[in-house]
Amino acid sequence: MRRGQLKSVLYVDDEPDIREVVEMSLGVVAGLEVRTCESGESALQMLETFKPDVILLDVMMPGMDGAATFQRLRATPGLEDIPVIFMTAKALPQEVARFRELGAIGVIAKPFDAMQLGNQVRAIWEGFGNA
Amino acid sequence: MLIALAIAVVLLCIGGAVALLIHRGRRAAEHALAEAGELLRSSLENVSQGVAIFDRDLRLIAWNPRYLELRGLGAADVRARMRLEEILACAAPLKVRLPSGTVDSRGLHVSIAAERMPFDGEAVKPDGSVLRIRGRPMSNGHYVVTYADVTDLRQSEIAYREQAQYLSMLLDNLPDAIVTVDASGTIQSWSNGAERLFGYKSEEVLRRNVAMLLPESGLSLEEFVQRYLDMQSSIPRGVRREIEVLHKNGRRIPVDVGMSEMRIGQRRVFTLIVRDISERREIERLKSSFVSTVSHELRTPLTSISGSLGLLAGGVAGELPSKASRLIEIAKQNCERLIRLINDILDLEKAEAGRLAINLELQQVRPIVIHAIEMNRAYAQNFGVTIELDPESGDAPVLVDRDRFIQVLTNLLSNAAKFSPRGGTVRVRIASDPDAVSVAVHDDGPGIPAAFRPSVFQKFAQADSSDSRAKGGTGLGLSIAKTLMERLGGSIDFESSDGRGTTFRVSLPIRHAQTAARNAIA
Repeated sequence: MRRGQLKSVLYVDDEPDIREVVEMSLGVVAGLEVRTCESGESALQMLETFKPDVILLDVMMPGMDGAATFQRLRATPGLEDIPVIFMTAKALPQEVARFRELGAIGVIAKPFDAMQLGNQVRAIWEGFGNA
Repeated sequence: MLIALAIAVVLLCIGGAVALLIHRGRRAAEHALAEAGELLRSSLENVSQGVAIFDRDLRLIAWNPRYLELRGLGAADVRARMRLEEILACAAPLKVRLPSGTVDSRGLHVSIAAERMPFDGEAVKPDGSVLRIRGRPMSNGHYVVTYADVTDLRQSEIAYREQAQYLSMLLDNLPDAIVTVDASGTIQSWSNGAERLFGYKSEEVLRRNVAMLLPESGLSLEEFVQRYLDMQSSIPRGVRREIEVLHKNGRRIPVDVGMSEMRIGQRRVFTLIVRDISERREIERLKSSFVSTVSHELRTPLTSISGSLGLLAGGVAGELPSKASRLIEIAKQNCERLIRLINDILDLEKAEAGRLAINLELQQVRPIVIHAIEMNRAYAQNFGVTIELDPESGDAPVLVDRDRFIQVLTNLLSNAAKFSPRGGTVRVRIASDPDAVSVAVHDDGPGIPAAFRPSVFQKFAQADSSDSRAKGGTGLGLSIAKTLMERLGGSIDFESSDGRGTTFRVSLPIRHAQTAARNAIA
């Protein structure tokens, strides 16, 4: 499936500092349109009006965690095809395998290199067949 | 007249012949009797037991020196035809233990010997020695009393009993369960520890099959024993295995089982030492959970810190003054070091707990080494160091987890680069023999100080060095490398000499495709 260049990203994380870093990393460094929100619930709300090329989803969040948010996305008409990349501080091999089985197109470990995050996301997105 | 005379002569001859025969017979009998008497005397003098023989009237007719010795009598105290009471009056009285109770030796002889009753008893002499005393009537009405010194025997028995009691107490007080089974798996013995661990009393399990203690799935103790018996097994003697057993109440208990074989006569007996490891498992789980949680909690703020520093250093917030730029760089480097430390702790914890996923595949070793060299070339260039693969290096197939082996090689290559002099070269060489392939990583650095060599593979081990390059590490790398090599079925070692550099060498067994396939089936 070709969708052209990666242009927009939604980043979901309950940590405001990390959201800010990601916003600068993907926005200023990588030149992408970035929106952020602090929970799975708020992400679902935002996605009613904003359709990003890819969603970056933190795994451990209070309330609806990353996996639960992912399931909701897959069950929501209009959102089910948006590629999802998980961001996790517990990138254990078995967890990475579990996320891939769920249907995520990739997993990025925290901490990440803020200057390279855009390239990482692009590489995963393109590897998924979106180039 | 002549006839009468002839008859008289014949009768005289017959009478003479008869008299001669009687005389000869008597002499032969006397001779035989004398021989028998001599034989008896000689035997009595040479036996280790004291023997005294009394006639129908309980008068002494025969005795030996050992009798006098054991009863504390002198040769002058005793004479033939002496009455039993007179002898007993000379000898020290003894308290004789009989099955029916204890009696005085004088009363014993008078009452029991007089009635020609057999008896068996024991008496302790004042000096502590133990006598076994037996009385037996003879068919001719005589009575024989024997004395034997059984002091050594009794002391051995006491020592044996004490030893057995000691061992029994020792076994019963061990926290481990000790169970013996025969070759068919039938339980032969059951310690107190086994009662505590399994909840069964010994009478509930003895002579039943060991299978009753095992859950239905998993490697059973029975299989464990059978594999040992088959001799096809690769289980070495004294091997320990972690399995699950069943408590009487149905609860599964994780245990560590050790087995050894004994031969008692023709019988094979297997001793199983079973240790409850529930507590250890729980501690491991808590430790793992703790490490994982702490690591996560540390990574979250580190993500913000390293991200911010990375963006600052990358000029995202504008160009920084040179001093500020240097300070940001220091903070960024140390932040990365902290991240490496957390990653290493997690890796080590997983490797030690056996939870590190190892995916073994049959691969050629050379391409893996080349890949690891390329990965570390840029890092080495930071120190002005180049990495070279010896052109004579060979290649060999190994059964290995590529990523984990690269992790090990990366550790060795980065260490070698860090400790090489600027402008130096790290040399890598692959060598193989019919059984194993080794990869050696050599640097021309200062070498590992002799005092530090024994602790090179210990956690958080770092030589006390003024070389600031050493401070960039976590002190866990070589410990992880060693653990990983062991998990991969290989080994790691090193050679170092002051001022002449260090060579770290990792070895893996060579596996050909057929061997690997056979192992996969097994």
